[in-house]
Amino acid sequence: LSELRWHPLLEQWVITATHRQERTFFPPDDYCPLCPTKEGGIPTEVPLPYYELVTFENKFPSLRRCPPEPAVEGTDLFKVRPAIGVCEVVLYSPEHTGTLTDKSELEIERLIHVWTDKYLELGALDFVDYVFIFENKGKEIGVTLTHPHGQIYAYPFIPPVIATELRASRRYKRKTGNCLICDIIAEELKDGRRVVVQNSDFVAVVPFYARYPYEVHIMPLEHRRCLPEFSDEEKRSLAKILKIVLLKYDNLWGFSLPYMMVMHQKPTDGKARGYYHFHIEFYPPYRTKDKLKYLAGSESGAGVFINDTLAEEKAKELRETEPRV
Amino acid sequence: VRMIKEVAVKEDGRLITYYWFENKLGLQNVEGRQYASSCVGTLSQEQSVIADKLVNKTHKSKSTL
Repeated sequence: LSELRWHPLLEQWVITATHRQERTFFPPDDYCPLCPTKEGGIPTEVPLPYYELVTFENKFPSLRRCPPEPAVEGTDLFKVRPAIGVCEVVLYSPEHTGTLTDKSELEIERLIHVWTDKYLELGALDFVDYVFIFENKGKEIGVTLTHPHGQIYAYPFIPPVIATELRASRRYKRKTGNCLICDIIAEELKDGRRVVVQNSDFVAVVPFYARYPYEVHIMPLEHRRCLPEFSDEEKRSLAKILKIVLLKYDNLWGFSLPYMMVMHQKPTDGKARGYYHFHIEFYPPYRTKDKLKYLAGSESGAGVFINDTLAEEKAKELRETEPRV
Repeated sequence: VRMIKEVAVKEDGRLITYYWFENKLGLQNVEGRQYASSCVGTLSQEQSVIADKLVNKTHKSKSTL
């Protein structure tokens, strides 16, 4: 069963996908469904015995190209529609162990080319309005397969967080004539206290408005709306800064830091959205070395984040953490 | 970056896309891909045609830029 149910109070779609209860949950060490299929071995999700980078449609998708009809009938108030879309898995490596941090700059650069291709391919589908590239890393985030991988959701609508950012960016542009994130970057660079690392094309900051203690945003210095607008050189720069941020995370406390990594790009609904600015956001769930930040009553029930830390102090910690391999 | 993309259809009908890259030494990785393809007959011409149809059928002429 899979369908979209409209939440009339929040004015957003909820995906009901009951079949996902059956998805693979921490398979045994000697069988990983994301490893290449060994000769004579049990077939995995990847039939070939070797690959560099692979994407495939999720076996337990929240959204499908050909979704079933909704199981319930909708009403004017309780709207329901088929859960059309695409959910893909992106395998970073044929190696079972390791994380994105362990990949070389070149391997991360290649992954960026794959992300770009997928953004274009899935974004061109007539039922897709938004291509959302993300990674959930670590059991603290709910990851059930440890093989290094990310995901792509191609939604048939613009997700609410993106819609809010689009509205804010459009309003700001109308009011000031400037791009909101271009101005945020300028102010962060002028202040400097929240900058974690910068290279010729990108800056990584713990933003002034960080909601998670070690939240980091990576933003291109030039105005870019989406991955296909980056030159090869900029993609290389993005790989370099991603690698540094990931190494800093893992060196912060000496263990592989879990996180959610989300990519915010312009929608693929055919509108120009010239006012929008590409960026990547990281949300690590830890607030100290051994304490998690939970999305509790205020965050979940009221939408108000409480950050127990100062962005300026956390940025300093990350800035002073060496990105050593 | 020279990237080769191959779309295939898995047995249950799901699409899988392989990406292969040329490295500084030339075609080493591309040859690796040919080696992989010859080991398992998954990427048959017939399946690639089906995959192309599936991908193209659902494409529309909207601009993503």
